[in-house]
Amino acid sequence: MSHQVLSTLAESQSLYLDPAIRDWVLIPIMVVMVLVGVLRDQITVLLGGGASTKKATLKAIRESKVLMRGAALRNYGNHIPPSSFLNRKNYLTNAYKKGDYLKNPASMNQTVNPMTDPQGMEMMMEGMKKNIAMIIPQTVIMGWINFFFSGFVLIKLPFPLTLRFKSMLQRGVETPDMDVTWVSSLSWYFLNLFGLRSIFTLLLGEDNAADGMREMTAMSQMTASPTGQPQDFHKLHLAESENLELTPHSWELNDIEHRLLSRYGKREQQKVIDSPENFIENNEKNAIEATSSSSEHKGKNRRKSGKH
Amino acid sequence: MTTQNQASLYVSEKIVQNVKTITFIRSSMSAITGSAAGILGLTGYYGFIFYGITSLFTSFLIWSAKAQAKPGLYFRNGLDVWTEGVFGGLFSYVLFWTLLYGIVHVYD
Amino acid sequence: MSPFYYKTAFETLQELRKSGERNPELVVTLGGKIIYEGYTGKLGDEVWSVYEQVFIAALDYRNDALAETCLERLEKKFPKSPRVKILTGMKLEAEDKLDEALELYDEILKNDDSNIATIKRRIAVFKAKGQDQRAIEALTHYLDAFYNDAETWLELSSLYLNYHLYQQAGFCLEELILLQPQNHLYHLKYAEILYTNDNITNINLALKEFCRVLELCEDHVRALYGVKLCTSRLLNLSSSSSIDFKTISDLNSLASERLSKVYSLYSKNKVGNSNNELRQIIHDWLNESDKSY
Repeated sequence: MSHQVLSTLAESQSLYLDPAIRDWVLIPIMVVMVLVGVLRDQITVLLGGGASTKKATLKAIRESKVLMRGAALRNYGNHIPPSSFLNRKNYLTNAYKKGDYLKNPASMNQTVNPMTDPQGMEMMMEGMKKNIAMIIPQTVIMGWINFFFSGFVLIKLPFPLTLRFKSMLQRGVETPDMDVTWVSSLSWYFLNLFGLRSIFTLLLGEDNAADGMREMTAMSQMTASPTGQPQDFHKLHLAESENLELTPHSWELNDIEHRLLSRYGKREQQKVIDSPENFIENNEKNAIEATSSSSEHKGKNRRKSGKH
Repeated sequence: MTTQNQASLYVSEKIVQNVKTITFIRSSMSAITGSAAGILGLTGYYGFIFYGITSLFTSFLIWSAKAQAKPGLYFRNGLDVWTEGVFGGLFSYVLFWTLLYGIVHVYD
Repeated sequence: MSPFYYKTAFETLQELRKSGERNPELVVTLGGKIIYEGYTGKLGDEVWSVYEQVFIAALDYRNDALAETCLERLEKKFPKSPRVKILTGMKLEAEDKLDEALELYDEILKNDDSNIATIKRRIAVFKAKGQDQRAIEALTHYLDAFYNDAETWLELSSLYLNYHLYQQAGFCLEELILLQPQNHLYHLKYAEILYTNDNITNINLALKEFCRVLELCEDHVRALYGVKLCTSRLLNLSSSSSIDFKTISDLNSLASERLSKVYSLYSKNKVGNSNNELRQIIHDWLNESDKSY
């Protein structure tokens, strides 16, 4: 199929490859991978819309959303008055500790066994089904490539690699002299696997199921922690309650009157420093106000900025 | 402004959408520049340098044309415009680079 | 007869669906034309959303025949869908058969207790029956799970305000502020509730909140009035407030100043005697209140 004419240049070996390889291997492998990816995505959509998506019960939703509520309190708590913040903090930490928001409060201290919890079981089955559906096409294609397209080099990589990759990339063609840049079809398959991910995002929009990589990482995570699947909300709640207890409250509106008055030039910037950064920020802000305020205030501010 | 005040100024869905836009721009550009590199016959380090230059140019385009030189309006950290999605684009770049290089230079 | 531009009609309906605007007359006119003159075939898959939209508008507009038609077609296509059941429930509500509607909703919830639309319709039925207590209970139960639904918090706060339960209404507004801290309207509503619930801590807090609105939205007239009212109240009470006298009077004069600026700008843009009268009234009031210190 190919005659090999080794050039005398030591720098880069150039092989003459039959154009038939390009037509019948290079392009087809790429096309097949793209099509299979699209097919997988569409099938996932079809399967996903089926009876497998069981609607979560109100209690389950409540369980997971209350975590977000704690996070929102932590993130934006400085915008509400201290007493309200304290009320909510106490209420939520108590609720988390007592397990008020858990789906079945009885199972609070038992480790969640995915076998007995029916919804957890379903979720695990779902995940496994999806993973298997993803892995099968990949293995099939790999087998197909190994069967039909082994024993010859396919393409030259434009960039050099170390010798260690030689055995992996030149699977069927064990020659001691050939450059590592000449690779077999299996490595072309891997190249496509990585490179086509962003193309799939382009073609199919975000969150498509054609992405084999994501499933592989998910698989490896799952095998690492088999009980990870139905999340243990009690632990999460306890963690969140600890986070909440540690959150301080520094009220946004603490010195808002002074801020407002100084914005209109009625007040020199208060030298009450609560933190060095705020001081610098406030001074900068005052400087900006001084230079860019409306014409009515320019007179006042100029006088004031002279004093700084 | 306090950090809490700063954080609440950004609507998270819009930020996600902006990141998606940048990813879209970068993947398209990577495919195109990869093909260009392949056709031009760049090899080895030149190829990667070419990728660095073109992605820098893409970042500049995003920064000036899309974000109108004010990336702080669109992202929490304005520097994200320069770095977001560069690594993901690298793989598509390599793929298209290899493909076109093979088609044009290896095969007759 | 002029041709019916069905394409523009489709687009208008789509816009109304997206914006959530309630314009029953327009929807019924367009929708009726589309349905009775057979343009539904040109809609493709969108037709079911259009049926739903026209159905609700027809109920608003008391066009029972049109509503029946839409409901029939939807039922034929989606026989066991909870969404269509909700529409049937809405029809029962419109016919004032509130108890039957309630039964229907309870049945849907038995199968799927997290169906948000059903929960909200149930609350609407309680309100229609005048059972505000049950409505409040149902709202609280819903918000316990779905704390991030801003419009529901607003609904609950307005129910509380109907019964002058200012502290509870304030609580709802605090939740809203936690959800959207940069939205000055929530701060404004919170400040007004605090001012209405008149005691010394609340007035102080209301003043701070009004200032916050001014910080977020410059020269907000309602907030400026709020600042004036709070400061005058605090100065009149003259008991120990957490804010010193000078600050309060400074804020008071600042508010007066900004108000007169706003109104002078306002009347510069418009012509006419009525605006001059308005300006005069405002000026008199401002001077009056300033004189009393």
